[in-house]
Amino acid sequence: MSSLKKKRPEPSLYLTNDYYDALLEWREAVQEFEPSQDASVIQECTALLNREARLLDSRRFEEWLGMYSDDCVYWLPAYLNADPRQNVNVAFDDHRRLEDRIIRLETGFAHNQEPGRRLRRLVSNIEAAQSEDGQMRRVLAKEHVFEHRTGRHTIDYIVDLDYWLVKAADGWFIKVKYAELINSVDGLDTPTFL
Amino acid sequence: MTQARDWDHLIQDEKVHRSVYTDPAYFEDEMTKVFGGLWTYLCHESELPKPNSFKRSKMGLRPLIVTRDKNGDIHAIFNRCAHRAAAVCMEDSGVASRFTCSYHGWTYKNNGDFLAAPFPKGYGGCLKKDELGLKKVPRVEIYRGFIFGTLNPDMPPLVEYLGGAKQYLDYFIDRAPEKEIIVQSGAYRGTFDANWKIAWDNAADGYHPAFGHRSLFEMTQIRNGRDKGGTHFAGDPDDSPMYCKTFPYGHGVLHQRPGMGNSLWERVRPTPGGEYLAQSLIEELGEEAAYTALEGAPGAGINLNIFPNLLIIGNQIQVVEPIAHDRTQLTWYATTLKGAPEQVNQLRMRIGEDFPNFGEVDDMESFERCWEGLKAPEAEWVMMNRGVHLLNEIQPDAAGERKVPPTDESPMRNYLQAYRDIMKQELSLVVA
Repeated sequence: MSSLKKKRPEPSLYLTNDYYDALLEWREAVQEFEPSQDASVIQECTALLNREARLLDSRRFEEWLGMYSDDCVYWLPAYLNADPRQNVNVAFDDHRRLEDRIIRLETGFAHNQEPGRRLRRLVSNIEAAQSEDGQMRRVLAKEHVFEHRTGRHTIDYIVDLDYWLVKAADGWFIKVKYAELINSVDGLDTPTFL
Repeated sequence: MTQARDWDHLIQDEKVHRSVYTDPAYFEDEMTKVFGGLWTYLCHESELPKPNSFKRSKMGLRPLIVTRDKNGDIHAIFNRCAHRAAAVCMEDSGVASRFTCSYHGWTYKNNGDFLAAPFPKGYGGCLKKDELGLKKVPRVEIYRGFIFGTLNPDMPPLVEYLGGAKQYLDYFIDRAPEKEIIVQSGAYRGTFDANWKIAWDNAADGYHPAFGHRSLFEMTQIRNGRDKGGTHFAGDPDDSPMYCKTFPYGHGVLHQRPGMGNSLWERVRPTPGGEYLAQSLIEELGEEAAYTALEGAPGAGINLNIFPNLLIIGNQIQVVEPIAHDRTQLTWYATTLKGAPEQVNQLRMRIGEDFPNFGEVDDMESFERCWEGLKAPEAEWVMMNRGVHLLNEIQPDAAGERKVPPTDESPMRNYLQAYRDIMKQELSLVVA
């Protein structure tokens, strides 16, 4: 059982108006995205996305959450770029709610996940760019998620991914993951974790 | 169309026959009679904010466009060209004064009236304009913004149909400082492989939470202690002040609020940005006014079910949308409170994402497991006898309402009886 269980949930103080403004500005700026030609930037970003997919596929959720900054947002919009302050999303999680998610999955009573749903994430079309000061990166990618439910059917999701990475002393962390399911305005077959 | 079926055998006080869920022929009749013969919820007035706004909707499987014409009047028209039946509108919502069929260019006003068909001389002058409009739902009525329609001339007025359930809808709406809710914040949609009535069996079921939602409750207890979230379902809910109530026409309510302590805000699970928003509200309004306003952020603590397709849950409007006899969509429209501080309405978005992600997923899993079990034809009956021993003791009052313990299966029996009543009838449904 994860050590997250012992962690006291922190008050959620960082989702300020400024934070939401910056988030929408960042999304807006995707229009001007110009991919870097720097092989090392692309390689590092590719490795980070592959690692995230591997940790999620193998349900190593706590290590996975370690890839996120303390002030992260995990955002699955229902409608493209709708302001999350005024609109409901498929998911809009801060760090604390991601911890909640992991602990719920680990109770053993998340019926929707039993017996073992198996997910496999194929990540591709990776493009990356780095800010001039070298402190921030943006990564765009596509993802094909297969979800197999034992004895039932396989569901797949096609996802547009947009990452906001920030640099810290010990490497790059995910500040924002924007994952847009292309069928998000239609009914979803109970995704519990993407 | 309707073969003779022994509905009194299929739906009894204690049990319901599996075929009521599984038989595709019943489904076809339901989509005509239940959705069409009763008052069906179509959409909310605030989704048609200005003249010429429209929103697509359904009455059972009938495709509709609900429109507000240039004078502000509301219409519910069939999304079906009078010519070859093609749907004339494929956008979910928007603004349009007319609809033109993409197939042969027939054009209609947004009140359904026929405007023109291209190259008219090919009809030799025999087109009768006044017979070529889009078919219309003849009876559309609105209760405090909630728009309903019926094709049944014998249905009583909407207000009478809602009956005592109205006062719980009022409670939901009156949480808004300006006594109005607004439906303009998107929706969360979940689909599952099972009959739509399986979601109805669950809709006022105070028996399942401690088991069906055990993962959510255990997580909440680990993270937030014993006093947050749905812990009022932890012991035997029948020992609490919570209750269920049933109403004529199949409506019901599970009233959780009496079991949820003094403050909903105190009890709600911590929410992304919650502490920041509460703090900013306190700085703006002072503690007392801020805490009063914050009571509007969490779900209302009721599960109100207006048969056949409107569920009020949390701070959302949930619409039950049958797709096929074995597939259903639940659409959760987020709502905001007119006149509430923006912090409160923002909190309603984050709180509205909580239960679909942490609770509803396990409900939909239960629905699909029921569907799996129902495939055994020899096991004919589904039980709903919890509380049957109280049938004599708790008689309906003068308004036909019964107040029962929160885990009683009366709400399930009650909607199935309303369902049975309408399925038994030979209806003469009309369109305008």
